[in-house]
Amino acid sequence: MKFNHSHKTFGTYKILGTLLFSSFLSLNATAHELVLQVDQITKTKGVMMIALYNSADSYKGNKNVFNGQKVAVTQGTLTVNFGDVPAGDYAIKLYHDENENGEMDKNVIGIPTEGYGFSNNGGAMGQPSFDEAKFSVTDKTAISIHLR
Amino acid sequence: MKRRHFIAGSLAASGTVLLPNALLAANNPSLTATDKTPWQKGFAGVPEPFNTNSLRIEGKWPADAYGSFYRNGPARMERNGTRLQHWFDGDGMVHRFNINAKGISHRSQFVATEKYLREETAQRFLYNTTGTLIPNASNARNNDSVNVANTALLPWQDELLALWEGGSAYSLNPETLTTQGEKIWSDELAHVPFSAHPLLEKDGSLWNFGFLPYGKEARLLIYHISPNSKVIGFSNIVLPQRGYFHAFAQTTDYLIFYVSACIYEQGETFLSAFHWRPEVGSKIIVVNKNALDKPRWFDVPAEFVFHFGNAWQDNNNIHVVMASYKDASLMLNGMHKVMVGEQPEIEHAHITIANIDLQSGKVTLNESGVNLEFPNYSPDAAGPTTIYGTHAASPEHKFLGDSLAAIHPDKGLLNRYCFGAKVIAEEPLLISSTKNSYLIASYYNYDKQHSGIALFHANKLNDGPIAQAAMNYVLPLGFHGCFVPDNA
Repeated sequence: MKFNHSHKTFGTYKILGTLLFSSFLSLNATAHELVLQVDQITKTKGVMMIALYNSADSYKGNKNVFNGQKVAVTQGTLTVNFGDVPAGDYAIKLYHDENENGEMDKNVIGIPTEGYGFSNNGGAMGQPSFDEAKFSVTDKTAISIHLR
Repeated sequence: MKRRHFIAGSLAASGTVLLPNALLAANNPSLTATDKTPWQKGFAGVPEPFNTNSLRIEGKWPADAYGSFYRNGPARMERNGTRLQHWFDGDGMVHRFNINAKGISHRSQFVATEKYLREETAQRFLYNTTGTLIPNASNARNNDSVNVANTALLPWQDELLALWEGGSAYSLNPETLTTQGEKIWSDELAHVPFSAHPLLEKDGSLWNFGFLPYGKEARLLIYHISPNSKVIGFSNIVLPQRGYFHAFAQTTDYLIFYVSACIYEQGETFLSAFHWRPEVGSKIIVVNKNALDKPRWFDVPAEFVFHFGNAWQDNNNIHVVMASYKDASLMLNGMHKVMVGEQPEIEHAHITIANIDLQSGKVTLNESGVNLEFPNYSPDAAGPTTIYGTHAASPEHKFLGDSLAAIHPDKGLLNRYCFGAKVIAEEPLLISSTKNSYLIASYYNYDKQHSGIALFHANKLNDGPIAQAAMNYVLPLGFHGCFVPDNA
């Protein structure tokens, strides 16, 4: 898994666009704070690579990340504030880049050797679908992902 | 270079990204402990390790049989009211019987696997196991998330490796039994299945394999590891059928695998996905040690094998001693029954010698008629040699043996010792000093509800133990062990 964070700017413009063309709605009605907690981190080193997606296509294709975060891992739990995001459906993928080589390492049979997780903590059969991983932001939202 | 690229390239086509708990569907069976059988305590598990300074010894333990007798087996069978349902499932506990002039002490430790530590913290089972669905199970990251390290032991350099078969070996301190972490041979081989019965090459290197019945294609991974723990050979072989196998054998030039007719299909747990399909038959795989990517297949009738005696070659023939079952009901049925207090009616394994003619491709099977499991033999043998193992002398023993026996492929049953009709005998190990050959084994007396260890002259089993040490408690019945002599 490799996330392309170059679309963060695109995502930011998208938010701005939504706000500009939705001026008849108040800010509070369209955007809400999204906070993520990641727990069950076993190794306090490296970085947590976190990708927030707002569509099934982007989620499935690991592209057009709506908001990407790279957070140093210094303890067993970390918190990420995505700020205000427009109301809607989102899904998160993350992995713990322990050796900071920019990708999720896998062994010879393709099984991850670094921690990872998905929103709703699904994925017993590999990566869950967007529908399985999605959550709705309709108000101030806090979710947690257990790293596995 | 090139090993990394070689490994990566050889697996590029597999596309296997299936996670281990993909095998284990979520469900919530009723999990109850029962106590219907007199030997149930042997399968009940224990909550705490053992620590006994001095066992009572009967007879005189000879100085040339001093050393450390290690045993491994499933021991944590229950947490927070949830009881595991298959003998393979429990968290591994490693025992050390330290035998010297001062006497015999017994200490044990649970292997502090990732699974064990997480479940200790949670005070409940978190992960589905090989044969049990856990209520509200967590998702596994990789194979080692569910590794119980409960099957066998290997002395390796200054470590003691606790082996499973679905994931990594765990490194232990041989003195204290403290867990030192997963044994990662290389980054590419992190968390891959590493089976419980590695074989030592004469040069001190190690052969082992990984069995992957799941994924798009079932696969056999072969590993060759140098004495300084470097991966010096690797092969990734697509299997012709998804048949279960647990161990392998070697000759000077060949590795031999027996792929049974117990086929991985679908099921709620890893083990319940296996089904006995006699119509597909079994396969023997022969791999030349100098051409690991060129396996040869040989069709044989459907039987089931956990363990092998030794193997040897002459001219174009390979001869392999196997402990063969008529079917897989021990694994698929018996090992569940013993966990819920029911008496399994399982036909014992019998020693069979497979003769493989590499030229004609013909395999002949010579059945000894002698029941024997947990085979052990001298690693120095280059031809037919005495095979020691557990044996059932009493007809009421429908599951595990009550005796130790010695059998020679050319001479049949040589001698045996029956502990008694209400005793379960465990894997015997050969101890060879310069003067003597001994056999050491643990046992469980379910009439008197205690366990013990016993030492025999290997060629005089009929005479009974020359020394033994009984405990006033019951050891969880285990699988395999090793003996490290004091002068090693």
